[in-house]
Amino acid sequence: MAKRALGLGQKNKEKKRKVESEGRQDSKEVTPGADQISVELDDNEDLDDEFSQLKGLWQTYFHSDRENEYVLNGIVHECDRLLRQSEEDAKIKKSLNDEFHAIYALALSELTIFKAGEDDEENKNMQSVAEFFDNAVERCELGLALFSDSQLLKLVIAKIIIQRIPLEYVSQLKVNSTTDALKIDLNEQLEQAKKNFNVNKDHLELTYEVLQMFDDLLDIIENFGHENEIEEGLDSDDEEELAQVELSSTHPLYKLQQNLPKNYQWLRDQMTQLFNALGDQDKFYHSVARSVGHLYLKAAEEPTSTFMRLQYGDDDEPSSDEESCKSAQRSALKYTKQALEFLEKGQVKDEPETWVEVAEAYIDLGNLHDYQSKDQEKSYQVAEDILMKANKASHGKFQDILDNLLDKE
Amino acid sequence: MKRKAPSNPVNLPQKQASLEEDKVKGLFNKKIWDPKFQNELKNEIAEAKPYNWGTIRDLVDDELLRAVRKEIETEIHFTKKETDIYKVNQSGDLANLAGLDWNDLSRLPNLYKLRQILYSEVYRDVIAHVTGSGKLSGQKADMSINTYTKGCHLLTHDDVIGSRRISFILYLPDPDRTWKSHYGGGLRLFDSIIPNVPYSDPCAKLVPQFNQIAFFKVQPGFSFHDVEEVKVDKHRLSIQGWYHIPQKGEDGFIPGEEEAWVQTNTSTLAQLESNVLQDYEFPKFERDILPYHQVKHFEKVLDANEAERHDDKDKEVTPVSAFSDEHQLSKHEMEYLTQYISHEYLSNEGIVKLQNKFLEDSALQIESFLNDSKSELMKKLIKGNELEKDCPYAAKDVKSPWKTAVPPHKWRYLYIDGKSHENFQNEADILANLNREELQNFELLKQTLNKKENEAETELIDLVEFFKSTIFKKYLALLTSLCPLSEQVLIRRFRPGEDFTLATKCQLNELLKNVDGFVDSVLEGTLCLTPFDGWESGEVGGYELYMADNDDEGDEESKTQLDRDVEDAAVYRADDSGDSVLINSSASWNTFNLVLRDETVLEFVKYVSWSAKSSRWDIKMQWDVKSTEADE
Repeated sequence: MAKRALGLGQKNKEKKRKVESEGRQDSKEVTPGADQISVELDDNEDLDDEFSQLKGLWQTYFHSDRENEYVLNGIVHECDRLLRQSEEDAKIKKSLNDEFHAIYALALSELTIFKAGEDDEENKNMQSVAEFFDNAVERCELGLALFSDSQLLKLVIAKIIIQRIPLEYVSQLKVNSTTDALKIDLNEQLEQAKKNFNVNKDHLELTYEVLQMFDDLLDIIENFGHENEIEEGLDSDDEEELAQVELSSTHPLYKLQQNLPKNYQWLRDQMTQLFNALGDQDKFYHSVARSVGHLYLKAAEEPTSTFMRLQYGDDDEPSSDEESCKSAQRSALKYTKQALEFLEKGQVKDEPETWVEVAEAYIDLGNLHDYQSKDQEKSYQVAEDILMKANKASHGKFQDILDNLLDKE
Repeated sequence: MKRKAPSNPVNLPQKQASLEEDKVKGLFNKKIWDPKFQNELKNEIAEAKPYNWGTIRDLVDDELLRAVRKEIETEIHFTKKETDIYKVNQSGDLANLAGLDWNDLSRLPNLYKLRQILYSEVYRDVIAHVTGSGKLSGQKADMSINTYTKGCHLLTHDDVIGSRRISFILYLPDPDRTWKSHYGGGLRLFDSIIPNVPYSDPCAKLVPQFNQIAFFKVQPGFSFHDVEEVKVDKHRLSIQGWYHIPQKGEDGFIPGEEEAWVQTNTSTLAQLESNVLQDYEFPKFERDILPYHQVKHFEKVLDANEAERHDDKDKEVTPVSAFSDEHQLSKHEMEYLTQYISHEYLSNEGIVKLQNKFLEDSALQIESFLNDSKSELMKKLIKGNELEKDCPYAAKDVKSPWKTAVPPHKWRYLYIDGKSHENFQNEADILANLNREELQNFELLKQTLNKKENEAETELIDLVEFFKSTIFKKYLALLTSLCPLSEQVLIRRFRPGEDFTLATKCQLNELLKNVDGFVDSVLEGTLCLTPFDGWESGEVGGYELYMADNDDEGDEESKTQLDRDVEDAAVYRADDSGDSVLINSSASWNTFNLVLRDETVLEFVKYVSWSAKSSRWDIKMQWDVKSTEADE
């Protein structure tokens, strides 16, 4: 063996030659252990306990970028094995609590993401996705038969339903679909999910994930029919709003579309509950705070646009609208202020974009105050100060927002 | 591995069903046939800065171009490609993902028609007239379709490849919306200090609109341009194409003209790469030769190991020195190193582990290299610098102790090199600097800095001085069993939306080549000090990549003329196919990479995206080395 290292390029060639001379077809380097994964274990977990290892494996997947189907397959196989063993081994049987069933069901439902894009044939994929979801739901039901008051299993059911609606059902729909396009009532499904959902103090991160999925689902419903425009990229700086595509009352998404405001409010209430359950040391405290803030901004949208139309619209509105204008202003101000309260809690010292969210909400607030009032000027000023700071911290990333604001003034 | 040619010109059949001239004319905006318009455009182009270029709004029939766009959207498949010089979605068609077959456009009738009119004689003559380019080939059609989505970019180059005479880009973003400047994706043009040395900053920028064409004469050494990164979630679709020198049988064909043109360009480039250009490159990767008395100690340290292994009791030991000649760290050396480096890498076991790993891999990646207190201090200062200080973007705004690395068709970043401040504005500045060259002196530089204003810089310089210390180099010799002969250390900062290096090979120090035991590789260290996260996926660039140059393995005979042109022109360098990647290391906090690079290894730092959370910061070091082991 040489006593000094070869240059990297020569080394690479030497390694390649070695591999070739060893008669391996595949010239790709395989580092021993590269396909192994390390598993997260709590300090007080028993290393030899198989269920602890399973939990660790699930946590590893849950906190990863979730691109590894093998880990999920591994979890499912391990669950199967433990189940079989439990029939003979009383100790194992005892250890399989509701969390075991939850992990099993979660792994099955996560596998659908990979199944959806697996085959070239769309139908085959959908069939396989449906099967995996069915199995996941069944697993929860089996678990609940044994642990009827398990809040975790209920949360998992909610997760599965909320994930299933867009992936399996909405993906098949077109703007002109009718009731018979699907065999199930999506609105009922979502209500089912809401009924099962709970802010689970022992599983706050999973709780947050379920709420984010719920948020995504509402977004999909809201923008249904606009997928192509969104793909093209919206003109965000024009504050261009896409009008909701009006669906016929026989469309499978019709009821969900009608219920959007109600569901957004439900989401906001749950997200606020989750926030209240967190301490400011929790790693997703800031992010939940911002989520609540966004949902309040969402709530402010409707009264804001009413106020803007009545106050600044081109048309000569009848004076009887003065009261509705004031009322819209009050309502919009209330929501925007609440949003600010949470967005400010959601700020992170090192992340200028979180400051900018606050600044943008201050601009909204300024827009809602009476024209050229002290309140308005103050709001714009606060926004400008934050934007200046954020712009400096991010190499000019927010220059266009700042330009827009200064232009406005 | 070389990047495939960006497109393959196809020879249009001589007898293709050519459209009648009237029909061709009818598919263009009729203003372009007006001699007054043509002459005004010709004047504009002749006067244009920084070189002869022009643009026409609403070039072709709106309906035709919308139909082309629709066809591209439905029929053409795009694949994201990333190399050192670009990130772009390149077109293939649905039947053949490897590339769009320009010989068969039967499924793309509107694109076919568009190509026919763009290469029609009557239109080519207009372009030749307004640019003064001379006749253009109608036979050699050369087009490619790209879409730039968020994060896509193409860095500075001059488009000189083969027989290209005119470059053009026809833009097709969303026809119903205005493309705005802050979306990015602009075509930026660079003026040149001298031929082949463009300025660091562009001096003109075109914000592209639907149905707008931009074009310029391909001028070796001058026509430098880039495509600014797209900063928003939008598609900037474009058709890029070239007009070539007339081919045999065409009007305007001159025997030997193309060969002479290609020959001149390639040889000029080769010459430049080896000579002139290097003079105009800053910073220079020239390593200062270490004092002999220092090298002698390193030799003894390494010899001591030899002697130990051979159980040789008669080894010579120097009694008085800044450091001991023993093949291990003395208490005093340990104390010094401990002020900077994590303890685990200084223990005997730690060192042995690193030694073995380096011998095995010719490279080391050491996490958490600086000890906790240094690391925390540096992180606080660099973060503070990122969040609270304005970072200069234009080269003219860069203040001491920072400088801008030039020229931009090779790299752009900020650096501190331990020499007097300079900020080149013109050729004379560069020549003056070349006339009075300095050696690195970080200590002196540090003394000139206002410590309050340059807290981070001062501490970074202190780190550099540590890396230049004899004790650190002894440690380095222990890890690598190599004796350092020369050194260069630079502090670098790669700003988001601005900085990169293109792939280059290392150059050995010519003066040291005859030294006994000289190793024909350069030892390279990078201490990455990038304080924010978000780099792991590589999406925002900023990673440092080492790759094998498989050039010599290519089958020379199977290469087409175009392949050779592409290689010769050395415009496009690296491919992302993956099998040649030796080391890919994302920007990170406190990671020290040590690599022994031979001359076949290419290295680059990928362009840092505008959407990265911060700059990439690092300290880059290089040493020429020799081996003290006897040939066995």
